[in-house]
Amino acid sequence: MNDTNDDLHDAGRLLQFALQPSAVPERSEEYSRLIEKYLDRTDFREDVRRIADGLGLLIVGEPRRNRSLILAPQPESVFAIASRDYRAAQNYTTEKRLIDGLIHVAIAACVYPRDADLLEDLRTSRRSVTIDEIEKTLRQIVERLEEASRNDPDPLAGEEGLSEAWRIYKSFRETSEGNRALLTTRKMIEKAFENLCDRRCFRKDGKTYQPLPRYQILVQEHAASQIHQAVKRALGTDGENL
Amino acid sequence: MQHLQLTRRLRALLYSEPLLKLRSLNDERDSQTHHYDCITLAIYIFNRIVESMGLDDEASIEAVINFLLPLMSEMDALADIETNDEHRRHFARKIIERLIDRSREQLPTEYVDFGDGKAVRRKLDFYLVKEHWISDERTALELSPQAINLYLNAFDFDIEDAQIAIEAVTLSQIKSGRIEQAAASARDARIRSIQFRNKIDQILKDTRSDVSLVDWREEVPKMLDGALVHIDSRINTEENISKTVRERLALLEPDSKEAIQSRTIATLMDDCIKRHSELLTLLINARRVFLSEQARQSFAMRVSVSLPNLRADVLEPLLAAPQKTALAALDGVEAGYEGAMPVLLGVRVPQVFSLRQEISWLLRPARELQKTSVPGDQRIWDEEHTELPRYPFAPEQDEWLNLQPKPIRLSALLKDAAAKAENQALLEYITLATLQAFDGETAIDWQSERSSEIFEYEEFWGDDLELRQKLPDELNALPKTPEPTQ
Repeated sequence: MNDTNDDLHDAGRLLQFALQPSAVPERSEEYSRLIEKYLDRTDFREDVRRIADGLGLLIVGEPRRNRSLILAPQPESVFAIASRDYRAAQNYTTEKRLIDGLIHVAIAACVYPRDADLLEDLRTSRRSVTIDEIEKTLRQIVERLEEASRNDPDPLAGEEGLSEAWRIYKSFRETSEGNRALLTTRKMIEKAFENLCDRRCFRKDGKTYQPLPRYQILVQEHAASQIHQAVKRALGTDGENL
Repeated sequence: MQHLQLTRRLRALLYSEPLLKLRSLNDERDSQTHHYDCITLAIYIFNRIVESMGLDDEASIEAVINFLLPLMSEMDALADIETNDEHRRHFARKIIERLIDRSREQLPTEYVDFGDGKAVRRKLDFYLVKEHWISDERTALELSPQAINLYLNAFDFDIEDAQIAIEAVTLSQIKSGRIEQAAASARDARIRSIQFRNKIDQILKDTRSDVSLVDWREEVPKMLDGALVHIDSRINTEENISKTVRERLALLEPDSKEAIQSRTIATLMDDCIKRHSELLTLLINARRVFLSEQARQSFAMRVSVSLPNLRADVLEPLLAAPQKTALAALDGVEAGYEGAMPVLLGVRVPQVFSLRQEISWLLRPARELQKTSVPGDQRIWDEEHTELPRYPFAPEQDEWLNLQPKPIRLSALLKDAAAKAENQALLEYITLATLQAFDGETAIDWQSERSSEIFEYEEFWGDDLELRQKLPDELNALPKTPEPTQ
């Protein structure tokens, strides 16, 4: 009975470590020991998975020795970050929420520009990205969509929800040109990277941001397929709404 | 058969193409870097990586750059050019990044092959150097099998054949007294043992990921049986080499060059024996891994996972979609599944926030340094290393706030400061000081109270606090401000 209690306690401790982005097994003997236990004992592994499931957490990818356990929230989990809570501002409008979401998708798309990249060995480090690159990627798509829409009629006044997302992105300026009050897309991209660095998903190196293993595992093993499914669902199964 | 052999040899030659392409860096070089021989530097890069492969201290990019600096300095001296470490570092990093296919713009190499007498164009996709994670935060460089073969000057050998050959050569060299050459061969033998281990590891990894990826009916059992025999033979040979070199070592002067190299050979052979013994255990357990993975995967639900192109299949459709639809995809359309944004952000631990603690922490005074009595040139604390507070102008701004005509709204104060082109840190300080004054426990002669209005200005929003002078009885009731603690 004591062994079972110890295992349950250890399972809780392991999940606690995994919930702290700054905790890494390399710097914590206890975390390292718990990862070893997770890898070596199937019964302990099962305990951890069941407790995680009960807490609304998914264990992403196959954990490895001396590496953190990566968690993702299940739908409506208390550990999930709702889009509306991304910024702690009362005037967090739907337009700003949309831009922030597009920026995060663009970051993932720049780190994994080809579908085959998602099959790459997780040990291989991905190349760094920059704010310029994210901005350029989004603006290029916006320009292309704008060009394609030149012959379409203008959006109806009063029906902003029906106007395309690219128009919203276009309406935000890239730089403030001295007007510090202006919230620009570059500032929003910078905030996105700061947020990801705080979560130990990226590391800032001068003007570049390098994706860390946590981000690679999260995107390759979980997020890429999930966000694709989310887009397909929202657009309709075969994307007829486009 | 000859055709297959020729194709293998052609491929082996093509693996050297990225090295030869380094010469194209000539067009991108200025007079300060033109004298650096990129291919020479590339081989030394390979050497540095290979020497630390499989050890605890694998070579990071920084370690390789530091290794190259003295070599580049020698090249500077040869060309009679003066430069500095920063310049050399920049160039060394350029070569390393060129070898690591970072941009992914490097297309697969194409070549013409003859199959059944007809010419066909084929693609050869490979890498020479890769940067991989050795922990959650540290990376190291590794060479591909192709790069190792290039480095070892053994273009087209199977790993097993290469191991047999190299160990035979090592033993022969020891017996004939060519110890220096034997030490070099022993290093190569160690690299081959790491290579072989990586090959077995990959098969087991593929099995764990998807048992159907690996041919466990014929190919892998045959490979495993062959590997078991091979490893057993390797261990015997390595023990023989280790024994031979130790017998020789006993007859040498302990500090002689030969003795040092012999000890190196003995250490390398011991390392190979250790690796091969571990590999033997791995091989014996390999079938068990297969059986347990087969059982686990046959009952696991195979979720059909679509691998999207994140730009074409996700980002572009989102941008082209109506705002409401795009937001629904990002937020989550209905209960039961998540939108893209929460999935990409990962987990967050809900925390309880304390405004009082946050403000106190932000307005903490600077830590005063202890002056020591050691001579100035031995001091380790220096004024320049003072921990800078986030708001170094606090005393001046406190005075400015004291002098502002009151009552005055926080929104007006912020606009006034912004109009004078003050920086963001100052606007933050004004807000925090006003919030602290709201608490009512500070020793200043003004305080702030909530008005009935909400304001929004730049990134500040909330209750528009009104600053007013304290009444005389409010001033008298103030507690003494405690001295800041060190």
